[in-house]
Amino acid sequence: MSTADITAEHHDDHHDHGPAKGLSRWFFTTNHKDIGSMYLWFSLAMFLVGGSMALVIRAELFQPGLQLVEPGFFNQMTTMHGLIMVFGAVMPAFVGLANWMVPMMIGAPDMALPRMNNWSFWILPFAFGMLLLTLFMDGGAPNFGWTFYAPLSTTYAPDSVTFFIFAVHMMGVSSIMGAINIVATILNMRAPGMTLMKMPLFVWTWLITAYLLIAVMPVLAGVVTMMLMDIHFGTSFFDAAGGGDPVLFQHVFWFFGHPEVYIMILPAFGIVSAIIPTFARKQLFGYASMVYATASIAFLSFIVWAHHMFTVGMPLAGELFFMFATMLIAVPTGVKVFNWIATMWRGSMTFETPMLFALAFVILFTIGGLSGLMLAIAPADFQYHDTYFVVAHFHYVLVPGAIFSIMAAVYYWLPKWTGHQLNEGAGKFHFWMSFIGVNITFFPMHFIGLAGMPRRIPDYALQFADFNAIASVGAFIFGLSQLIFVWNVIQNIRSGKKAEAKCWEGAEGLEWSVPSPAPYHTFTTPPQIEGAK
Amino acid sequence: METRKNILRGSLFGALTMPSAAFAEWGLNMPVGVTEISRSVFSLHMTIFWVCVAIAVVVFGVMFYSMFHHRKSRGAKSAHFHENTTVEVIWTIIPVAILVAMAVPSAATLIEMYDPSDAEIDVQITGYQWKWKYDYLDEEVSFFSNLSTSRDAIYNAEQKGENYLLEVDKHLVLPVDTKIRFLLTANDVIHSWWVPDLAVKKDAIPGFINESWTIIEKPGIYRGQCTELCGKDHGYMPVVVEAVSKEDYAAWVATIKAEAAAKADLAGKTWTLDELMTEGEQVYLKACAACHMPNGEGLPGAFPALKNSPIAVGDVAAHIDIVVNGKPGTAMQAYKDQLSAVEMAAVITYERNAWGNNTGEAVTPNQIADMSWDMDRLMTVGEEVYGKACAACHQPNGQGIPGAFPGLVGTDIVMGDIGAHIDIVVNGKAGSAMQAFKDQLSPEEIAAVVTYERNAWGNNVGDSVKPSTVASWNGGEK
Repeated sequence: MSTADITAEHHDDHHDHGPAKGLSRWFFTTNHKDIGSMYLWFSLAMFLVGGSMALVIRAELFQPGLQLVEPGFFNQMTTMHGLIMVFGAVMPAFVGLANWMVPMMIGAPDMALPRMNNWSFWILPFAFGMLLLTLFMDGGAPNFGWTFYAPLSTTYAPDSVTFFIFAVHMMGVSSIMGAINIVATILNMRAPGMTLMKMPLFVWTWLITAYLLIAVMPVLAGVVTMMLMDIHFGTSFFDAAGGGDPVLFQHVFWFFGHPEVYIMILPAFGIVSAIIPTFARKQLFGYASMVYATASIAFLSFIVWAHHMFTVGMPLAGELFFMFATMLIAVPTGVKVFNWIATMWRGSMTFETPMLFALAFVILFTIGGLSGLMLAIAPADFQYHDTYFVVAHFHYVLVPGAIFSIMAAVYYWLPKWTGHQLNEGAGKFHFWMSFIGVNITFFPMHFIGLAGMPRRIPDYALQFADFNAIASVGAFIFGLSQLIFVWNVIQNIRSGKKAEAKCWEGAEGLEWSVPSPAPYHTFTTPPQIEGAK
Repeated sequence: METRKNILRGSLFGALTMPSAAFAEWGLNMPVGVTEISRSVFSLHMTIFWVCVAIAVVVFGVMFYSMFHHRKSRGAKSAHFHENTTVEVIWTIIPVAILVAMAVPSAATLIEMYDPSDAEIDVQITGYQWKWKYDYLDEEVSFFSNLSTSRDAIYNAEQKGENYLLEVDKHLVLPVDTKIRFLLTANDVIHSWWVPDLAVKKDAIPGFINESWTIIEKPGIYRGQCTELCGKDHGYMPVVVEAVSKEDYAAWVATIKAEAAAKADLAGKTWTLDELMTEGEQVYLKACAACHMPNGEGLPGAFPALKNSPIAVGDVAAHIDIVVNGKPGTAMQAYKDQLSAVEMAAVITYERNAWGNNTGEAVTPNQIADMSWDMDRLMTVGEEVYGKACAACHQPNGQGIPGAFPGLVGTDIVMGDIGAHIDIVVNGKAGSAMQAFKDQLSPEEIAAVVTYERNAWGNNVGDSVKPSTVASWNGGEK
């Protein structure tokens, strides 16, 4: 491309032109809003696919005995459900929200690296397309759990494991590029006067999340590469017969896996910290301590990985260290919850759909956090480990935690994206169905876990039957109520009352200073920042 | 049916939905268990649970109060405070204090759990896809424990019993009031051995040995399951521990040893094709059907079919070999440690004649027993036996002592007819110092030593003797 062309193109940019026409808009776009939308649609599609798999699981578990699927396929469902929800639904949704909102929140015209942004997204459909196609391979899709412990995932894995490894590599490349882009944007593209400690908390939590991603996605890439070597190149990283160690796999995996847990929750903290002050019409309590608490959680996430492995036979000293370190995480997490409640205290609250989801987040995430505290007690963890108690715990932090925060965010910013006010009736209907469904699904799992039902089994002893039936009913209520969400979002795009620039009375922040819907290009000249955030 | 009383296993609305037999099992909470450790764990669990409940009540109480009173519709006007150092310090310090208070008893229990010293009985537990093997190291007792729930119950073709999926063919029998050390490992993938009532859960990891221990205080049957995803039938490998008095335990050990001896005798019996097929079908359903499927068609891409497969209708030796020795690097296990020769013979016969394979071939237990005795093993064991039983007279170099004991190098007996050689070792030579070794050595040892003599010291005859030949050796005929 000649200098003249660049000049010409640059000249064109000065006109506030709209998007390109047709499909090429989506293939070649470098616009953060377009890419954000694609991430969010992709995530929604994966959420529905992964959710359907969860419904297959719950349908089989409705009654004891095998009715619908064989154990081999059941294992493929649990594995694919986990992988798709973690890597395909939750993570891309947060990246999509970051794409849409971070530039608008810091007064930047776009992401720092727009072409890489396009590539980060477009890798994902191929990675997940490949992963999903393994369902049709001889031997079936990966069946070793989303944690893919060796040697079940190496020596004893179906042939599709190689495609799984390649798909994980692609997801990792996408995540790392996305994270670099977010860091570069936040550090370099803030409007003048937007100091770090004036940034909205969503920006802060994403900055820290992005660093976590950059630190641990290469570790995941490393561990799957070691698997690839074991499977195809005769090494024995995880095979004791060749001098390796299956437990090494778990250490490396969880060194990635535990920070990954926080990758899926820190942006949620940011979202809730934006929504609660808006609907309490009161400034966020303890902004600085929120930032420090987020950073502390991120730091601690690197030194607690082996609490996922209390039963592997670690030495006593290791066991004690990981128990104490894990218990410590309760402190900064507690600070966050207390701050949200202090924000609500003596506010002037209203309960629109985003606020309902945010409040449900605070309550149900806290329940998940408290069961996490129980799991931290190593001697008791021997009884909880790999039972439905753990399933209940992590679904409480991921479904009414991460997923509810994403829904809260979508409802909160949807008027900004589409220019139409929310249909509060449909939103509240969706909320209450989800809230009821999620609790009917996951609360009984605490009981069946304590009573002794292991996770990842297709069939169970008779004493677990009633709670499993209840959980299955709840799962279908929750799953089907997501169709209300899909309908509501599509309706909102197509029609609705015109939304104002600042459509929520108590909202603060730069994103509310631009019109609704946000123009294709925002902040082409940096805004003026006044006062403290 | 055994009953288990458990005061803390309550019931919420079980009475509405469950028949009374299963009522006692309708658990909402962790079992208290039957060991000192399990009680400590239960008390830690309840303590941390109530701590969490208390935190939740306070936090949610304040939150709900605020949601009710500080709402715009009630005319609430928002205040303007947004930080308060004192409050923030307090709500950082209080959780730290609670955590320290929890950490102390937790660490104490953990330290206790990590002390397996002074164990009186060692049991090695080995996880296999998808069953457990128990080796009583002090007793030389060893057996596999398989799920005993029928396929029909799993596939809803028959009523599910009270212990559906939690029942096995052989219990792990342990004495009460005895410190038992468990040594855990695995044969293929990682498994995890869990009995909630003992508060023992430990991973069984291939290539490594983990330790755990228990002292059971009350006789009874305690059920658990594998808790680490270990492949297709992870949900179908329960653990059943039967705790009995010390006297009953001693009696049980004696019985199981006698059973093992009786089973060994079966190998000598002559088996008809029909008998092998009947026995084989049982073994197949227990040991093979999980992967190769009851219809022999396998699971394409994961587990190969046996129906019309080159293995099952081809060379019988290759078929025996893969069953006996497994296929390294695949899920096909070596069954020589799990099944008796009779069982392996039966199941191979079954596979070669079921589902239209119809080879008409019967494999005898002897063929299986011989499989594991290749030339190398015969020679190695033979050398050992020779040193122990023969070298005193015939000398380690086979030269004998001229005039007293004949040499074995290049002589007629060892270089000539193999039948005569076997016969003289088995029955001795009347009127000479040559004893009848059938009373001193096992058939395997005799087969090995004869083979050794025929191939050592440059004899190099090149033939070998199988144990089955020796076992069925009848002095009257050749």
